[in-house]
Amino acid sequence: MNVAVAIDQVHETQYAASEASPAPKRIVVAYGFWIFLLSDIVMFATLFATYAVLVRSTAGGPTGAQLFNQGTVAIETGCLLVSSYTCGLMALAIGSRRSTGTYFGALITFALGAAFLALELREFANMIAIGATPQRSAFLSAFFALVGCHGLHVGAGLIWLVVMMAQVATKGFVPAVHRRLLCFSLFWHALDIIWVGLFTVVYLMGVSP
Amino acid sequence: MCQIVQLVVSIRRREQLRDVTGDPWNARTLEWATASPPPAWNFGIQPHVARIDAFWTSKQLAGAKSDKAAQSRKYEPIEMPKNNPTGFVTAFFAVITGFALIWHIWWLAALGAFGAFVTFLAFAFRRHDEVEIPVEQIARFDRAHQAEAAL
Amino acid sequence: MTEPQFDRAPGDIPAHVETQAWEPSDALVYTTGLVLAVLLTATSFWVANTSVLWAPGIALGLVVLAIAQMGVHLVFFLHITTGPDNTNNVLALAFGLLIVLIVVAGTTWIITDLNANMMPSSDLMNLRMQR
Repeated sequence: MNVAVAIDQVHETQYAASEASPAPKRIVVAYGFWIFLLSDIVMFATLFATYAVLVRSTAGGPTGAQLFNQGTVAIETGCLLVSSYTCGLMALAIGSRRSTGTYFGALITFALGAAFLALELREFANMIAIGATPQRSAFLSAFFALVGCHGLHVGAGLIWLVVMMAQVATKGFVPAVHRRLLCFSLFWHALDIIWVGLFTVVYLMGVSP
Repeated sequence: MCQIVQLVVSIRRREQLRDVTGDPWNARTLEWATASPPPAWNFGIQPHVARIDAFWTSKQLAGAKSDKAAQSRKYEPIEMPKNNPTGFVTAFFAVITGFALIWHIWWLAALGAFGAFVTFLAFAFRRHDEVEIPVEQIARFDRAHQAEAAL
Repeated sequence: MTEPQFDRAPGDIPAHVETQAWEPSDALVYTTGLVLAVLLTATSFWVANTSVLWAPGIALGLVVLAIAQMGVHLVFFLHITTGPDNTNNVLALAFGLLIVLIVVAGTTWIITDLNANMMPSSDLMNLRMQR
C-alpha cells in the first residue's frame, strides 16, 4: 500500500508552538528545576502525612501545645517571608545587571535566612534540653524529621547563595550564572511556600484549642 | 526445531542479509536517520521538523536526490557539553558518606559530604563548559557514513 | 530577537510587552505579594489564637488561609499565571499537587482505617496484658 504523504505548507511567518525552535536554555533549565522542586514538595508531602498520622502519638511525653512558642514561630515566619521578598528584589537587580543591588539583596536574604535557622536551632536545642528528643515519642520523631528537613533545605540554600555570590564576583553575569541564580530564587520561594504549610499544620494547629 | 533452522540459515547467509542502509525497517521517525553508532552531535545538520514522521516525509521528498543533497549541505560548528568526571567522583564520595551515615561514623560522613561539595564547586567554577565540534570533523564523519546519514 | 515567546520559566521576570493599559512595575508586584502574604499570615495567627472562628472550624480556616498564602507566593513571587506561555508550568504544578493530594489523603485514610481496625477486642486485651 503506497502511503502518499501530502506535505503541509510551512507558513514561514507564523509558527505554531510545536514548530518553533527549541526554547532558550534559560527557560528549559528553569522548567527542569521547577519539576525537581515539585518532586521535593512530594517528599515533603510524605513527611507531612507522616506527621499528621503521628501527631497524637506522644507516648506520655510532651505535646505540641506544651512545646511550641508562638512568638518564635511568628518571628521565623516573618524572617522567611521578607527574605523571599528580598530574593525577589535581588532577582530584579540581576535582571538589570546591577551588581550592587544583587549583592545587597543577597546579603539581606542571607541574613534573614540565617536568623530563621538560628531561631529554629535554638528551639530544637531547648526541646532537646528538656528531654523532648526525637527518640522520646513518635510525634517528636515526626516533628524533627519534618521541620528538620525544612531547616536542612534552608541551610543548603544559604550555602548555595554564598557560592552564587562568589560566582557573580568571579564570572560576572554570564548566562550560566544567570540560570543558576534563577534556579536559586525558585528554590528559595518554594522553601517559603513549604514553610507556610509547615507553620500552619505543625505550629498553629498544634496549639489551637 | 524451526528456531534452530532459522538460526542456522541466518548465520550462514549473514553477508547476503546484512543491512547497509542503516534503515532496515524503512522507518518513519528520525532516530533511524542517524549513523550507528551515532556521533556525539547526532545530526550534522539539524533536521527541519514540521510534522510527525519527519523521516518518512523527507524520504518521500528525496527519492533519488540523496547524492545531490549530500554535496550541497552546509555545515556549521556545533557546541556540545564538555565531558567531565564530576558525576563519577561525586558518586564515590556519596558511597563514603552513605556508608558512614549507616554506621554512625560522623567524622567520615562529614568528610564524604565535604568531598562531594568540593567536587561540585570545581564543576561550578570551571571556565569552559562547552566544546565546539569543528566543521571538518562533522563533514568527515558524514562522508564516512554516507549511506546511513540518509537525510 | 523578535521571535514570540512560547514558554516562560517559573520565577522568571516576565518580558515587558508594550501595551496601552497600565502594567504594574516588577517591584510593585513583589511588594503587593509581600503585603498580601503578611496579611494572610497575621490572620492565620489571629484565627489560631483567638476564638473568632467557631472552634471546630479553626483547622479548616487555617487550611484555607494557608492555601491562599501559597497562591499569593505562586502568583506574585513565582509569576505562575494562566497565560499560554505558562501552560507547561501550570501543568507540572497541577501534577505535583495531584501526587501530594494522593499521598497525604491516601496515607491519612489508610492509617485511620488501620487504627480503627486495630482496636483490641476483649480477648486480645488478655494477650496484651500478659506482656
